[in-house]
Amino acid sequence: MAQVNGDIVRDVAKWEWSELWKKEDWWAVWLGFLLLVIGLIIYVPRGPAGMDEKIAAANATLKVESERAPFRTIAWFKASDAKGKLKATDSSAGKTIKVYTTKPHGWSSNPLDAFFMSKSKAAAKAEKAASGYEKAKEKEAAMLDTAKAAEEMAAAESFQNTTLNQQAIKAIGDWRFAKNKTSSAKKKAGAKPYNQIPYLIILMIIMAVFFGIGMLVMGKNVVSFGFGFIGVFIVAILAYLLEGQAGMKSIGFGYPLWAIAIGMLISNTIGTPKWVVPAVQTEYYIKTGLVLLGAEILFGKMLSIGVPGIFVAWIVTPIVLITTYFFGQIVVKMPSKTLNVTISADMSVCGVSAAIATAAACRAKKEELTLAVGLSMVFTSIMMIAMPAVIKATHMHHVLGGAWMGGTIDATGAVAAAGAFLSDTAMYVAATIKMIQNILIGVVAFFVALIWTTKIDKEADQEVGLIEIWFRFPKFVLGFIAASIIFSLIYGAFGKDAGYTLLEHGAIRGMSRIFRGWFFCLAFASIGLATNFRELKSYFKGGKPLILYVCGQSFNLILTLVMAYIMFFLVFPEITAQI
Amino acid sequence: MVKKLSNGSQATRIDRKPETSRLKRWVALAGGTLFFWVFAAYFTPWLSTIPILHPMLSYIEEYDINTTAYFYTDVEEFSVGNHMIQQLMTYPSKTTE
Repeated sequence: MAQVNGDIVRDVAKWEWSELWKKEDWWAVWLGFLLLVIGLIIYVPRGPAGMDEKIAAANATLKVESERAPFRTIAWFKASDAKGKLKATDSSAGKTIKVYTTKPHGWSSNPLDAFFMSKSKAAAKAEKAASGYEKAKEKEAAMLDTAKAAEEMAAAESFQNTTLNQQAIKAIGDWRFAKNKTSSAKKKAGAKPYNQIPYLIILMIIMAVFFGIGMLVMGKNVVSFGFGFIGVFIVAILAYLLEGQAGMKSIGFGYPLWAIAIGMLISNTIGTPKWVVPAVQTEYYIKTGLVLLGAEILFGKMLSIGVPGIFVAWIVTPIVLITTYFFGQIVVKMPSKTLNVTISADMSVCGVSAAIATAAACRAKKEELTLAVGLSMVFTSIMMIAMPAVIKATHMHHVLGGAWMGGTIDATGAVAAAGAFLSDTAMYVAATIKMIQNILIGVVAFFVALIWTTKIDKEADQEVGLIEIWFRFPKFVLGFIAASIIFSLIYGAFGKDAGYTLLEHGAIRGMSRIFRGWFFCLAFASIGLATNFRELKSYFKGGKPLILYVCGQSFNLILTLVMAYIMFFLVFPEITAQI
Repeated sequence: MVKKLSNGSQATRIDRKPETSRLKRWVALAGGTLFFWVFAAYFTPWLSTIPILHPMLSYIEEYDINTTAYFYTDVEEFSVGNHMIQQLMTYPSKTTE
């Protein structure tokens, strides 16, 4: 609300109850929570049959085996795998949701494969992969026999013979590696025919109605929105199509980049068609997606790898974020604080997801988010390939290497690839560190919103009291935090095992994750459709965003490596020994 | 005086079109589409043939790792990795005497 005081026009925030149904922020909260509640209703009562008994049996085996041998035995791994297979998303409801919400499939040379695969083509594909699968199965069985023999020999010496123990550890490791190969071959051999087009049309209608309800109540023209939504959805589909291409997947160029690029190509050549414009609702989609993302931030996972993980992910990351921000303000002299903090968070926390959350929290321009996402994707691709090479060349311990990559590579998918490329151990550590870092974005978004509300987006002489903070604070951030707290409490109440089955592989991966992905894709498509290339170029003036990113990431690489070494090798070597 | 927000610049008008002829705009769109196609169909497969990149890129393809994911819940490997670490921390192996 504008208030004129002398020559000054000021924004005066004011609370009105009608905001609850008239403001986009609140609609993001209502719609996000609606999906989360639906997810809980669908998945929580649909745990796998005999879930509690299976978990108890697996835990009993894990306990016995961990007390029996100084290494992880075959029975230990089998019990762990048995628990890992228990997923609520494997229920019939979970499978149905997956069919209706699947994005275009992967393809290599024919883009039509993304939408349609005939019976004969699927059969040919499966047949081609079948021999590889059979070979992988045979190899796995042989490796298992070798591992069993090695373990028995070590057990015969009551696990007191170090040489035999080491041989058993190696043989079991080889069997696990062969097992991973079999799983991958099995996936390829199980190719089935599909026609994704009708499901995509149904999904488009469902999402148009879903967002249309909010538009209707907010007093917008819902018919225009519905027509426009077709255009935005098509751009989103094209972005997923490009992401799914085998080569793109390998280099890690995901849909955010393609959605922006395709949208910009349209808006900067023929112009965004007028009928599409009513559905170009970047903030509406992004805020709703962020509320869903909140549910995926489970604070109970923070201690997954003990205290070292907290230090590497929760101590180093804020230090790098704050240092980079001030470096950007004082040394690089970034022209915009919102661009500075978005790039700093994107680089130090976890790439695209952190950029989205931070940009939304400080109300950054869409061009600023675009720049941050672009920088993150390019550097992620480089680091995903360079870091494993450096770790290999320097013979770095894989626990240290995993922690280093998990703490520095922006995109989670690239962390998984780089870690797995080195070894299972590196992948487990890298994934866990990254996951703990992912959780940090809730805290970062909250504090950025708070600082921008109370310090940055205010007049020099303006006092911002508690009630003023409430008026100005972006309300969807409250939904984002509330979703995180509620889901963390539910996860805690279930316990880690049931939480994994019913929540993580239920309401989160089977509902929140799916729709959050679609909503962010729609948001990036909207950003592209509303971005002028010349204006975007002006944000890159002097290469300042690039300088900021490179300097911040260099500092991040050094500090993370030092902290990981101190934590995993000097302070908590017993944890490293267990991994 | 109007209050200036921290991100400074003015809003973009999405209905603005470049002041070029209709034909040129469509040609530019076709050119951009062609660029995307060449990037997907020729450039990324070529990257896999570069010796220094080949091992990593072929590994990703073979194991079908979703490198484009940006949150831990998007990646299956994260679930496997975190599940394994959780078991390791809850049921650690006994130490040798």
